[in-house]
Amino acid sequence: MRFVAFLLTKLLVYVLIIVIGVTVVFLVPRLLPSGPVEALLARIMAGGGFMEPAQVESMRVSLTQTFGLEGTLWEQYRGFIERVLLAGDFGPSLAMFPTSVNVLIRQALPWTLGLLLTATIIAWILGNVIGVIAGYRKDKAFSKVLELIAVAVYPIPYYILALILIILLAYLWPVFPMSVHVRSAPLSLRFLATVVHNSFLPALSIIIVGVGWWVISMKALSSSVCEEDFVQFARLRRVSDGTIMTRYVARNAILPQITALALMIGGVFNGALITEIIFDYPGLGSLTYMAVMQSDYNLLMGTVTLSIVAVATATLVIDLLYPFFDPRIRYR
Amino acid sequence: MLRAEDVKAYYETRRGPVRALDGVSIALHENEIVGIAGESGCGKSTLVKVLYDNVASPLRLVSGRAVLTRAADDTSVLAASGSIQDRWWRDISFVPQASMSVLNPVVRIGPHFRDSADAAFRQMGRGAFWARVREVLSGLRLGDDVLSAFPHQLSGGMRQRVVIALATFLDPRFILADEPTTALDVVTQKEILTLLVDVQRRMKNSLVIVSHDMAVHYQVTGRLAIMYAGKLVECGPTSGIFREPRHPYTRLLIGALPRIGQRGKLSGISGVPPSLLSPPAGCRFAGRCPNVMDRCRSEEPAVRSVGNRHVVACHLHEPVAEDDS
Repeated sequence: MRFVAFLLTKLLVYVLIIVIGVTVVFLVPRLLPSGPVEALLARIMAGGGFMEPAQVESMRVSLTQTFGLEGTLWEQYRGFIERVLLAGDFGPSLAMFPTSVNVLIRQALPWTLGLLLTATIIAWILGNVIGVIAGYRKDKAFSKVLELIAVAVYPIPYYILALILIILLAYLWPVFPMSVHVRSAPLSLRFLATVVHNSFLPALSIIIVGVGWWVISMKALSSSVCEEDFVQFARLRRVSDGTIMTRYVARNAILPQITALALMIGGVFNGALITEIIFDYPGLGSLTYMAVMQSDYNLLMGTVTLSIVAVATATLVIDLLYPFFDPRIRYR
Repeated sequence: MLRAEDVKAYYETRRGPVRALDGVSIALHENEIVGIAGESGCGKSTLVKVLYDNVASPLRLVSGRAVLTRAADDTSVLAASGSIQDRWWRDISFVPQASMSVLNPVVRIGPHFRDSADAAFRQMGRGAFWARVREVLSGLRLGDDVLSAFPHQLSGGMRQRVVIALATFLDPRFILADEPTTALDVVTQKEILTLLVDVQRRMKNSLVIVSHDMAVHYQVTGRLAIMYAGKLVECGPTSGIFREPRHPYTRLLIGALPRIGQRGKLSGISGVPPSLLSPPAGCRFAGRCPNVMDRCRSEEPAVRSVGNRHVVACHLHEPVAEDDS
């Protein structure tokens, strides 16, 4: 019963966050001085085509209708909420008219998820394992070496690291392609292998930077857990080293890292702009970038709404799952 | 038998070594309850660390040693070689000061027993092992259900009883309890003390209770060691010490206890203990002693027997024969 009440409150908050987020997404572009209709008309005119003022006017009206920009702000808002939240339809892309925003997102999403989810999770596991070992055995030489590497790698600006990887593994020793050359094809083992081969460098670059951060944070967390009374007492009652490291230190130090991972997975839906530009990778980051550069409000709303929903969902999921990781936390 | 032989153990600090233990010897026999008393910073906990062979930086064993001998085969196990650590939890166990935080918060109580007894678990087998754990728990008036509870679901007293069960379920010969009741309220204190004594009576092992509370020592210990500023000042049967304390410090400690029907203000001991960074020559209590003599400030008193297994380190109790010269 208490769980049902807890779940309902959390769900209510979840819906509220999304509605507020989407409302902001709706309002901000409408506060800008230039509208999408004028932007598109200007682009058509600049293309050199000649139109009568009456034609321009009728085009303006029809574009306003198509883009859902007619009526008062309230009417627009109601239409927007109905379309976006209830039907999940973001309308046509303004820059790539008449392709719909949904189709564009659907094309980019698997690429982004495949790359970022895999890389994020690998980096999280690797970084936390190394971090625990380095934190638990902080007097050992290899711990110091591991930490030194992490501390040295972590501050390297991401694009420099990515360029170094390209120079090393795509130019000097060309085992991986310099940029991603696969585009959609029917799903097959061969296709998957090509995708993995093509995505290897971008994934590696994300993992290296990610691991550095997880190692540093996990090492700090576990060395402070090591000082806790229950770890000291475990040593005094001859609990084996391996058990102390896993069940006593790692199990307690991992709790904040789980929250961080969940939020990071929510953030995956933003795409990774720099990675996508450097490696010419077809993901959500470049899509959002294009939307901004071409004042494609529908597309921008689509990608931003997706990321709002993703972060809110990740938070909800972690709220619901947390009691399984930390028994001291209860549903309430 | 567990004994410390002329132990000097110093904490290394930037200002120099803090002489927490400066030549302390004490022997603990089978089947007895020994109390270690003294004010904060007198070296009680350090002595327990040395006896338990838990000496780690910044604490350093400068000289002396701790020796654990088993009555059965009389093989000496020396602390210096690190092998009292090999006997941890089987022959010697430890009840820590802060039992509120010594259990792993994200693991149920059951696995705590399993974790510290890999060898015993293999030897006894699953059934016998858990039967033993249940038996010990019920001896401490805890039900089986605590095994599936998380530490935060237990009260302070229950947690301390779980810790005692952990420390006793492998039937060790020595149990060192460092301030086992200090964090508890007086009612629970009494209960825990009674249970500890019950366990000791049943197992006939030996129990060391470190406490600054003289009332605790009066209630449960059979023998009492009083420490002051890194030195053992008096040691003997508890009843003898309370009836006739020999060292002026012991006398003042006992005099500071409230008595039923007593009127007027209780007397404390004026002054503070000397710095252990640069302890004074002679007797370390000289600065606060009401019976101080000239030689106390220059000559360190040796530990001497005053009969009936009772020893004291004080110039007041030198044999008369030596004073003739």
